[in-house]
Amino acid sequence: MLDTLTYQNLCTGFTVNIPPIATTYAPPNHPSIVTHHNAFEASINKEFTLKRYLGPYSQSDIKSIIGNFQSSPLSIIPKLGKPGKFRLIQNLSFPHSPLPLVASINSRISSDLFPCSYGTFSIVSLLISKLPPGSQAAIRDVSEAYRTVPLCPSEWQGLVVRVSPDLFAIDTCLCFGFGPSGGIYGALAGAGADLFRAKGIGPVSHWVDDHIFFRIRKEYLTQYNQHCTQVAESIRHNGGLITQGGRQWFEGDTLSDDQCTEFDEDHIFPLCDLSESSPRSDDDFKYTYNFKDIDTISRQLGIPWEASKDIPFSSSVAYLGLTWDLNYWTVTLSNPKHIKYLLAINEWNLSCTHTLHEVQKLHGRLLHATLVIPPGRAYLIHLEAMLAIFGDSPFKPRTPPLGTVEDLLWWSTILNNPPRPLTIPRPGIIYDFIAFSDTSSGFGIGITIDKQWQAWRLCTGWNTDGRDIGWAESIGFELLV
Amino acid sequence: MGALLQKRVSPSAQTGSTPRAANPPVTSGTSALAVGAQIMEFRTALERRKLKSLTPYNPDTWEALLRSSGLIARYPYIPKSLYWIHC
Repeated sequence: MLDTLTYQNLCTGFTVNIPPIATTYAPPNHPSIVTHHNAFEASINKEFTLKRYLGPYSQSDIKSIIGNFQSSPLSIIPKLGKPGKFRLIQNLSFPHSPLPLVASINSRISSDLFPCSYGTFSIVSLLISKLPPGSQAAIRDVSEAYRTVPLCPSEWQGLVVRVSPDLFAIDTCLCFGFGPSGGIYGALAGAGADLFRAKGIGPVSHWVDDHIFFRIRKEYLTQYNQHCTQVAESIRHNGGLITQGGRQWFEGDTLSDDQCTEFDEDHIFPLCDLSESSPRSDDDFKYTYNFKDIDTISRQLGIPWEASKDIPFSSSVAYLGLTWDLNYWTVTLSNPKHIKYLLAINEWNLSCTHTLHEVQKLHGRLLHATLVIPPGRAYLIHLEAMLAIFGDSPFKPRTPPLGTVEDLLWWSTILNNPPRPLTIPRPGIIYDFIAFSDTSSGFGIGITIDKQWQAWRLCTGWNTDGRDIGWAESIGFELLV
Repeated sequence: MGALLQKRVSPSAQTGSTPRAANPPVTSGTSALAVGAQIMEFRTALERRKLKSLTPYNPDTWEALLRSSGLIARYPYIPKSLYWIHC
């Protein structure tokens, strides 16, 4: 395996170094392409029209030109919440278990070789916590992001698709289902975000192609840039860019709770006042930049924003499936996600047994919800226990552990009656009260706060009716706080 | 554009959940000359694509801006990747 640096140094194109294909392998497509035949045909015709697919040609024709190749089954799924819209997926993880001479394309490439930065929940929370009053955010998505990235011809042998029983095409771009796609695109988007910052536009973060642009009022520009200078200095002091697995970030100061602050940029570029660069509305004029300034650079770079997904600057925007309110400093699960997660639970309840993939899907969704519903972490434990029971049979449906039904009932109740929005987490000051509690089943409960103490004896029979040492420890902690 | 694919292929696709050998290539009713022309056309298309990648991004601008902002050292591979034709 090449390490990241070597990859970057050797890279002469969006090369993923798919190992040589030893024998031609062309499995059939997923049945969904028959179920959604019209959508499938429309999708692949679009790919041919846009010349992202080359072909179609017979197996022998393709083999005679590019040599042995490996195709991966195509499937097509309806996009949730978007009736009539479909997503074409190449299952580059097929075959799931290696065959003689054949292993899936994804199993032969490590996604960690394509690291990039992500505007995570904690990074965006920290960013928002430092924004001056009156700041706004806007959202922009790149249109068909993966499909804008060409792959080197040397990779084409591993990216052939079957478009009919007899015909194939070469997919020349990144696609859904390809392990490195997120990292490759994320790195390109990271470079793009840095170029916006270099032009004084920001702060800006992104999760793959989902961008969140913040803007501040001009009167806070100097003050905010001073803050950025301090952050840049602490990042430099802490070693700059950090890469771990497929993720990159910058480390700032250590907080009083021993947590390190994380950033997705190094803050070396100051924000600029671009408000005089072109005519704009009175409202836009209060801020350092507007959409037009983003467009000017985007046009030069050729970044194709999906205009229909643009969310203009305001104090409240949806990003990462969460609604962020910059005026009230709150964050909550977005309405579409509420509905989607409730539907997912209802769908789960239709069956008594589930495959590993189904467990992973539901667990992933609810885990996302715990970002803004922290008590929900306690109601994931049975799903998490279930993740571990599949062994070598991920496709064999299993019965969920006892307690899963109650957990999901809790989630349904919460999602039907959303709790108050969460205050956006921000660094706080930690006070150490030198406070401890302890419990002895043979004696009782004791607490100390600094140099003071208090103790209680446990009465006879305390450890009945389901009470045990865990209960007593909890009481001790309760008495302490 | 449905005709684009329909000219060459049957409207339905083979399905299944287990790997099988690929179907033999379609050759019926096609002369050797026509097949040769088709392969030539295919080869030309591939060569043309090798010379010019398909992307909405402007590699020259990416390179110029990355250089002028001092970011080229962080992203040395991006301009090359966008126009690997020159590599």
